Amino acid sequence: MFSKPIFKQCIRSHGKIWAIFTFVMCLILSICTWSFDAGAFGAVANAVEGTAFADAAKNFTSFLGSLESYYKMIAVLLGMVYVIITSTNLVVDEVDSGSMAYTLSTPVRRSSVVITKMIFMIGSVILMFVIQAGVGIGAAELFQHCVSDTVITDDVKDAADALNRKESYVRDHLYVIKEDENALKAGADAREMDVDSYSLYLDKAMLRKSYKAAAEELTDMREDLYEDDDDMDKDDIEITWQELEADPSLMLDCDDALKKGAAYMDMTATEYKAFIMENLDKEAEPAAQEPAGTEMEGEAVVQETEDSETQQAPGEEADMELMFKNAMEAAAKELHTDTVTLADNMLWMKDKDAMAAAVRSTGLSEETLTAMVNESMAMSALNEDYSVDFDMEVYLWLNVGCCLLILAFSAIGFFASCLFNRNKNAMTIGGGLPFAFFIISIIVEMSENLENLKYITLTTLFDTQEILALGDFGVGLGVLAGIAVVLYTAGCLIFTKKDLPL
Amino acid sequence: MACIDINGLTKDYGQGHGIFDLTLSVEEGETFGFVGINGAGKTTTIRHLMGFLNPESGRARIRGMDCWSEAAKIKRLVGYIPGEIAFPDAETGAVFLKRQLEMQGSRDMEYCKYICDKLQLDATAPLKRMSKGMKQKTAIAAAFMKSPDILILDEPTTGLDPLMRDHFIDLIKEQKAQGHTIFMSSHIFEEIEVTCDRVAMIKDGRLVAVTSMNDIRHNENKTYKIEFKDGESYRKFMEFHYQAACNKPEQLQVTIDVNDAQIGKLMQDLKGCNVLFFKEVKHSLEEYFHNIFKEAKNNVQ
Repeated sequence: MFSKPIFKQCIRSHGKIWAIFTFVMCLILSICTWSFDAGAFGAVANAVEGTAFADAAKNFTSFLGSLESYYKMIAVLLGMVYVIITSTNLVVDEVDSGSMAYTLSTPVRRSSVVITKMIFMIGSVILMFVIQAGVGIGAAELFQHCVSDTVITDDVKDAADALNRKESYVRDHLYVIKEDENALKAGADAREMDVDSYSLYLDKAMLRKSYKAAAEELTDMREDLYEDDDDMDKDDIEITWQELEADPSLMLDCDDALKKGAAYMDMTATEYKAFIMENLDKEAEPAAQEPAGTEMEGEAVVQETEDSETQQAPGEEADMELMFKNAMEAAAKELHTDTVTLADNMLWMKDKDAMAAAVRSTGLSEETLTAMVNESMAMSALNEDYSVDFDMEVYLWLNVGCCLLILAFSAIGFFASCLFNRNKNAMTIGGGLPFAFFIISIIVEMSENLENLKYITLTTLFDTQEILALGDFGVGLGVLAGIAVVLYTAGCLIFTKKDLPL
Repeated sequence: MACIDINGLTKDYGQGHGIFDLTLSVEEGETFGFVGINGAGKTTTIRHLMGFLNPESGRARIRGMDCWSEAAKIKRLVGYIPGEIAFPDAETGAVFLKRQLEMQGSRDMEYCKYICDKLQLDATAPLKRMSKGMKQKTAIAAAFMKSPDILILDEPTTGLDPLMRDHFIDLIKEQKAQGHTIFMSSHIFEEIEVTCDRVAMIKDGRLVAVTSMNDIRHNENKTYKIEFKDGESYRKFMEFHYQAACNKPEQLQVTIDVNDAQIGKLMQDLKGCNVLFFKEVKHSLEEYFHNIFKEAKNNVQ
């Protein structure tokens, strides 16, 4: 069924083009990774927060979002061109030129010939994406330090210098920055913030880190707890830090989680517990809600987090946002700039004249406005950290999905290559169809009127938006795999049964 | 049992193209010629033998194995030269030959070298830059290098110069001496004439005739060309009314067809004439071929 000499010949005649395409893909992917600017993202994400664009902006400019556009466009395009060229060369070219006669004049079965070529085609595509995924992860780690969770941001570096401490130590113990004036100043400068907003950011960052650690511990614990329970999905068991942030009461009963979280805050577990409780009380007061977190198990957890999300954002908060917007407009006018530039350089708001104008326009006190500015800058910095968050699962699914799409394209090319005896016929179908699919996917992106076209292109089965959200993308990928299996099988069968004009 | 057995083989490409109800058999150790004009169906027949085409009806067998369903098994015994030269992607002839040998499950280059020497082929040359003749030699080497039991050759001498053609004929004779079966299509009669035991003629996809070369070579009807010294002798000879195939009175020359039984009478008649020369004109395959086609045409009309 498998012929080694034919496989070797495939490698010899197609190895070069495979290497070139793989290299170019890896190169572009590395450039995308390298050129991603986390700072720019933080500002944009903050500016649109709370608006309808928030979700879209998250995908457009977060690190994984920029990788998504690479996988959706460049990887698909390059992969497609590779499989079109190779699938045509592998079979129909040899039939059309007549050189297949020499292969078939030796004691190999036709089925061995075509199956070996199919294995080469599939194997080369898979290897291409495995290498690409590897390079992508490597580049992400190298340029953005975001894979192994060792993000050492510039402010941490500078603060560590000022403290004469190891960078990794400072990263895990952010409070040491707050304790040292010089370090605080150095860190703030690196972030282009003032000391006030920077220490607010540090508080938030520490809290987030503590939530992350606690959430991990909680998840571990629950994994042990539900080990034998088949009804519980991995998603149900896992508690993400976002879930914990929305409802910190989840960890109150778990001493280990409290201990882990406390370490980041320079507190003992008891102090940390008290701190969490205090925060919970503060939150509960204005909304006058029943204290959350009496139930801790199973689906109830998820439901609760959803509830608390919807219950937040009362009218008051929206008002504040509007006020702040007015303040920014006034300040921008005073500074002779626009709000977008100002959003990028929030520090300007603290300018005396700008602040005076903002106070005049909103009627709020200077303290309140300063607090809002600090809050805004801290959130922006936090978003910046978040933007380079690298979710390995999402990234691997992007690779698997793109690989399956390319495999489906290669199956179309291979099928046409087996079906036709003339090169140009095979090229028309095997090359034209994938290309048409690709063009249609671009048109669908550009025009809402033509959205219905998405039902006639295979590219929509590789739904990157759903993958980013780790949502419902399995069916599409399954269909792609199915198409590949069916067309490869059909192509092989046809080739073994048809007349060859050799 | 016959080595190659074609029985009622039919493949209709429409508009009279294809082969129709073709039946012939080649014995073990026989060298079999297959002649016909372009488009007569020679290559189509050979494609069936090689298992590239699935017959519409009828079947072709080699040593009892079906050419379509047991194609891979048959290839163990068969060496093949395709009608068209189109090599797979390989840098040099040597690389290509080595790969072909490997695909046949052998690494023994010894005989291949012998063939290359015989054909004066430098296989180390890049395939893409080879002349047509060199490519053809490479194809010949690829078919012969395993010294296969059965050789199926589709116009094997196209592109070869006359000298090289002689070397090729030597190779064929060598294979023949080893008892190998050879099935060879060609439209060059000389090479068929000197190598083949039997010849099949195909026209418009149908078998016209199968003849033994011995029958052509040792035909009872012979042709003689006679030239006389003087007009008187010429006129005297003409009075015997032999069947003249060609008559050139101004050169005092006549060509006549005579059956072996009449040869004694001819000698008698010539005794009284002044003969300048007398020679037998050898019957050629080409002639035979032309005659058959003429007959076939007349029959149609």
